[in-house]
Amino acid sequence: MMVSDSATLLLVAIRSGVQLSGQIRLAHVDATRRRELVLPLPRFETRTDWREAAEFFTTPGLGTGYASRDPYLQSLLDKARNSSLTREEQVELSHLHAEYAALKTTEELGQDWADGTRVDPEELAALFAVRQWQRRSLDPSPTVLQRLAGVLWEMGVDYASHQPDRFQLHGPLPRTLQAFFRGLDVSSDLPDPWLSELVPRLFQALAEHTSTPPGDIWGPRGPKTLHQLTSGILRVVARHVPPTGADGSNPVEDLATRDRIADWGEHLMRTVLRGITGDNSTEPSPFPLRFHSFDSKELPRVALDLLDAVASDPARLDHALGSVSLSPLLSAGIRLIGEHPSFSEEGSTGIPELLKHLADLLEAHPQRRFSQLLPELAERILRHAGEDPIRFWPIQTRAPSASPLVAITEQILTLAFQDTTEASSRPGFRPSDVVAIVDQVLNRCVDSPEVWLQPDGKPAEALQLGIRRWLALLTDRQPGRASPAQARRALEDVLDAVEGNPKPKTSPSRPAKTSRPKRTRRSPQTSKAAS
Amino acid sequence: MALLQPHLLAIAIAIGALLLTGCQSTNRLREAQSAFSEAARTDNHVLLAALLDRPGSPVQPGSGQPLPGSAGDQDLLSASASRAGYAAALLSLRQLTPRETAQLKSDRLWGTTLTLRALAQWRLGQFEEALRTVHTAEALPGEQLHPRDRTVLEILPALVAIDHAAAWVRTPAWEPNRSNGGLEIWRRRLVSPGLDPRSADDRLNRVLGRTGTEGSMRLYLLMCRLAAYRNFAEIHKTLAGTLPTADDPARREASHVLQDLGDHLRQSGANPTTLELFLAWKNRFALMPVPRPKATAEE
Repeated sequence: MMVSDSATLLLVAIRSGVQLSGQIRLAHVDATRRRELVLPLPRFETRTDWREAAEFFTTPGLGTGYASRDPYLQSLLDKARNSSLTREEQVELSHLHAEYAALKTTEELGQDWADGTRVDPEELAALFAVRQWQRRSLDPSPTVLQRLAGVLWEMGVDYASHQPDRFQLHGPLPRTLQAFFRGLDVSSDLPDPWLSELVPRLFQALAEHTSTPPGDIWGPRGPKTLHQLTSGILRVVARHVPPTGADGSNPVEDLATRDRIADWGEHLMRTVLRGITGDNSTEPSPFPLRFHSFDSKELPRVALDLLDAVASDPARLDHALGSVSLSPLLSAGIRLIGEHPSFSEEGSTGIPELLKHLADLLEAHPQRRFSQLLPELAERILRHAGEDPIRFWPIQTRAPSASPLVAITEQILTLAFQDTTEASSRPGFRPSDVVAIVDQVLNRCVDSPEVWLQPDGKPAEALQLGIRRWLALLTDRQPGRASPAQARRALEDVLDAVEGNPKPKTSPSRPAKTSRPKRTRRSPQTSKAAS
Repeated sequence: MALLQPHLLAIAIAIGALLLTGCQSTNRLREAQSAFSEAARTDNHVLLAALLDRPGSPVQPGSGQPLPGSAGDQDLLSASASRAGYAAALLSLRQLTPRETAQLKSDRLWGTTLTLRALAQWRLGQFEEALRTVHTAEALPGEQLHPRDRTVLEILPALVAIDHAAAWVRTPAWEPNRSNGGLEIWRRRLVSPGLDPRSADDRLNRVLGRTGTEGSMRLYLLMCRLAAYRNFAEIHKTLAGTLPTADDPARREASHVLQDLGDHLRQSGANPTTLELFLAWKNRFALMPVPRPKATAEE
């Protein structure tokens, strides 16, 4: 918290809140006026009978081709012409029409008869959502930006006057604020309580992180990135706003959901800004976060993917991804996506899918306490995948299980940490030991993929053998159980042996080999050529 | 996460208090909009599923097989759910207090409110009330009426006429010796051009002429015009025993409208499979799309 907690600031905040709420109410009115309305189609007769059938089979360009090849159909049509069809024949003709009309439709759509790729009536039903103004440019109401900019600016000035050292009015600040306000412009899609919850929070986060050290750390892409981040947060939140009111949903639950998603929006903004300004003072972390200025175009993409993942599966990911875990995850994700030569601008990065996949995996694991490992495991996987993205983060399927590193993690958790009868003789692994062991193996796989991976990317038999040999060592050890540190050293030796580099016997006090020289990372061009 | 700071709490309280007093009327309108849109989406889904001949489990008591395009049990359940949605929207608007009404007027939302009320009344079969609401809304000052609402109010009498015809088709009040006269009455109501009062199709066509070539309103209007013709064709079957002939002016115009629908779907950038909508009109109702003669099209 940068702004001191004084009575003056409280008054400033209240005054700002009052001004802001007035403008937000008007923005809410504007949004209601321009809100889409689904227009119901008038009722019309959709049933057809033998008369449409006869018309279909006798009109050139419709069904004459079918009729000419079907003598029975011809006989029915002759009778229809003479008005001598029996009731059963009328129904028969009508059903033949239904079948041939469907066939004709699929032929004309260029589809196979049974491929099932027909339009969903629900998709069509949504086409009748009509806006008040067909184009946004025709809407005379002020935009949300125009409504809020004045008040927000005033808020900013108030903060600045009380914290002049934190809030500079020159340099990149005006550019930054402009980008932020533009980002707010998409917020008309957001229902009001959400808008009034989020906007002040985001602005507050921005106001607290605008102290600019020497040099323009915002970088040339800074305003664009901030704009993408602000608008993206609002868009993601809007996508996950549950319907209220008409469905009679519980307002208490709504409030809780709103708080949770708004918390995450704000937290994301703070984390990113903290990473940009290099301010790690309020978040002690083993991974001090420092993004390389706003120049990273992957930054908003990865950040918004994380927010989307949490908002779409809050029951599991909200708790699992605690506040300290976001920075390393963001760093690892940005590096991976930045290194990946095959990522286009659109589409998912695969990171939300990875988080959900790991949540599934850990949820199913007999050792439920491992569920807290999710962020660390995800971070390790992303970090190692960044070493050789083509090999370790295939994006064709967007399925996280397609990543060899995910498959290896699964195998380690399954083989090494299941509850078995031998488990009691193994070290009492803490969650941090589990992460370290997974990290140890992933490190090996990245360094020597030819040993640990099959050509198709699946874990090689050697991995299973190595882990089993290591487990046997731990179980056979006498007397007493090994400590986790000893177990990790033993694993290192076993992995060395499998790779064909047996180490000379060393004293037990030899420090664990936790890091190996990294292979030279391939450049994107090299990776592309290799792929 | 405990991210709420003391002064943010103050902001939240202040905002909350103000919004509670200022947004009630807007929120009530939004609730009504949501309920109506949800009901309309359901209704459209049911109708389009039947148009594409993809009903759920069919219902035709007493007969072995239903006619193609019949609604299924599930669809009928959905239809009753949608009625509840329209009723909820209407109820919500009826409960507006004088203070809320004044607020809506001052926020220039009163035209939107009345339009929604007229639409809900139409869907609930309260045709007379719907037309009265249209009349009231049309008398509002221009600042209260916005483009979509104005268009809806203008076409609502046409929508009422089409629904009225659909209701007649389901339970025809048919007098054999007056069949020809009855058919002409329906022709004037539904599809004849240039009469006073205007037919449903004529009214829709005039609005369509003012609507741009893009947007969902155009698609909606084209579908409404085809619906007007479709109900006329069905009445023709009932009263004259046949579909309108190929040289019937109503059928010729419907062929042009169908061509317009196909062109619109192709040019709108929608998923290509949405063309099935156009093909259903063509193949199921045996209506050939015909491009307009060049001079007419340019006009």
